Amino acid sequence: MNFMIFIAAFLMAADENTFTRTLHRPLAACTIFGAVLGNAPAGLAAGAVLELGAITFDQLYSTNYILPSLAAAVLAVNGTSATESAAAAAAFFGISYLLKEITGLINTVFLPAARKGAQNRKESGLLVPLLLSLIITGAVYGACAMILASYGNDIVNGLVTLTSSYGWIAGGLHAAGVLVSAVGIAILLRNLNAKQIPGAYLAGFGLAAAFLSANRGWPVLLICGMIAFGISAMDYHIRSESGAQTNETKKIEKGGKEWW
Amino acid sequence: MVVVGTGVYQDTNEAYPLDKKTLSAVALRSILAGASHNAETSESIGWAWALMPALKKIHTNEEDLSLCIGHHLETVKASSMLTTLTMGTVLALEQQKADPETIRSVRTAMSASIDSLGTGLFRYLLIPFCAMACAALASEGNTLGAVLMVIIPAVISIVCRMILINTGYAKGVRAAESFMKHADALKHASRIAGVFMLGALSAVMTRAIGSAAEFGNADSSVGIMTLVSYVLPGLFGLLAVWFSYTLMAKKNRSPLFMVIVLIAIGLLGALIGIWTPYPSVLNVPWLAS
Repeated sequence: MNFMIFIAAFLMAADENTFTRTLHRPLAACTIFGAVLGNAPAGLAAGAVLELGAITFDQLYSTNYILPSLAAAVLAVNGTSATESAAAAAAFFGISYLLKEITGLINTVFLPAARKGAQNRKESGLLVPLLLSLIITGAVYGACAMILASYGNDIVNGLVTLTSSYGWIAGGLHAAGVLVSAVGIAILLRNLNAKQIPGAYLAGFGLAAAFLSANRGWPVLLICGMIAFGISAMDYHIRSESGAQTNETKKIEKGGKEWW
Repeated sequence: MVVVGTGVYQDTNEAYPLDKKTLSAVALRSILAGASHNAETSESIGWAWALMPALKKIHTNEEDLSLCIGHHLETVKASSMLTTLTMGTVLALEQQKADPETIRSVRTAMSASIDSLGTGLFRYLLIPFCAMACAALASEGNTLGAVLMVIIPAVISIVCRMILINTGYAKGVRAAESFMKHADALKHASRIAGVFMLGALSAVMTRAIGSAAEFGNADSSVGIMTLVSYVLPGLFGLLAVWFSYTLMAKKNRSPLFMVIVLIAIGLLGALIGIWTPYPSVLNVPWLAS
């Protein structure tokens, strides 16, 4: 049983960003976990309720619903009503969100190997890190699901104690997962020679920050993109009309050293 | 030794146009692109791997191919179902042998905005629509509700990918042929778009710092950065980018070193209370049972 739960959670996590992208949704996941636990209709009913709650959560954060769905399915199969099961499962939204940051941090480890693969022009140099990322993401969720299914209330109570006592670790990992994206942006800034046009960077940041202050969600990057292409179209028009030449002297490596 | 991802192409002759089979292979591979999500460069490994069949045909010069794969390993958003539109456009520029700086600028600006649109369409339109229709079926005990919840978005996603790769490539080639007449102007203009979007990404990708408070109980403590983020969202992202840029560009620190430093800052900041501690699990019926 536990192995089947591991496999189901593994496949759902691997699927989240790849094939159907919907296996982790409560409606599908609760039904699958319900079937594994021996009562698919109970899982289906809990999944229907939890799915409607997940739509609201989607407006705020991008996460997956494997652990909440498993919790809802376990409760529903054990006789709790669909609504109560879904309400209880919502407690795991935060944990799922944190796990996503942690798997992202773990997968960063594969970047140097991928860069080496690029340097050697080896396709396997990219495919292996890609598959390892997929396996690790699946394994993390599979293991968590198996532990959750094995220990039930005990593990939930343990989690409450643990997150209360060591909340800073989870908070730190969450912050680290977010901060590390700054490295990728800094690499691009350097490779685009952004110091020649710092105004464009600050304008983009300012506009996005203004939208975020106004609590605007997903369209921020889309709107910024439209403005960015608008500005660059004007710049292209002016430069192509005037025949202006750009000064593209690149000084990328300080002292001739390389980055990787 | 080739510096991965930087420099210019040695062979600047336009490559043969890509055939539909190659473009379809790229579109199918793009399904796996999201699997490589990592904290530093998002989906760059999957993105580069998806483009490989086309890049191998375009770049016959080995050093150019290294350079090309290298710059495609930079930060890119490639998890949405519309991502093949960007892939098609980028491949059109590669086939025209545009300057790598132009390509990375277009890729950065386009992937961020297209991913935003794709995520919006998927998460806020397609999924809620399917969920409401399928949940209604499922609540009557019909398993078809769960099956359709999986199949409908998957089919739409695959169809979008297959169509958009061809659209992006065809339109991209036409646009590139026209714009490449003024290559320098194109390079400068696309760089503005790329750097502008990097500014926007700095704010958006790092806005989640402090957001954990929203999961918390009423008595959760709130970190300093959460309060700062109310004043200027993304401010800490800006500082983190500036810090990383300074150390890497001026002190020649490696990306791996920076990742370790930022993880240490993340943990240290949480320990001394700069960010909000991660909240405990809510008190719910599960615990009471």
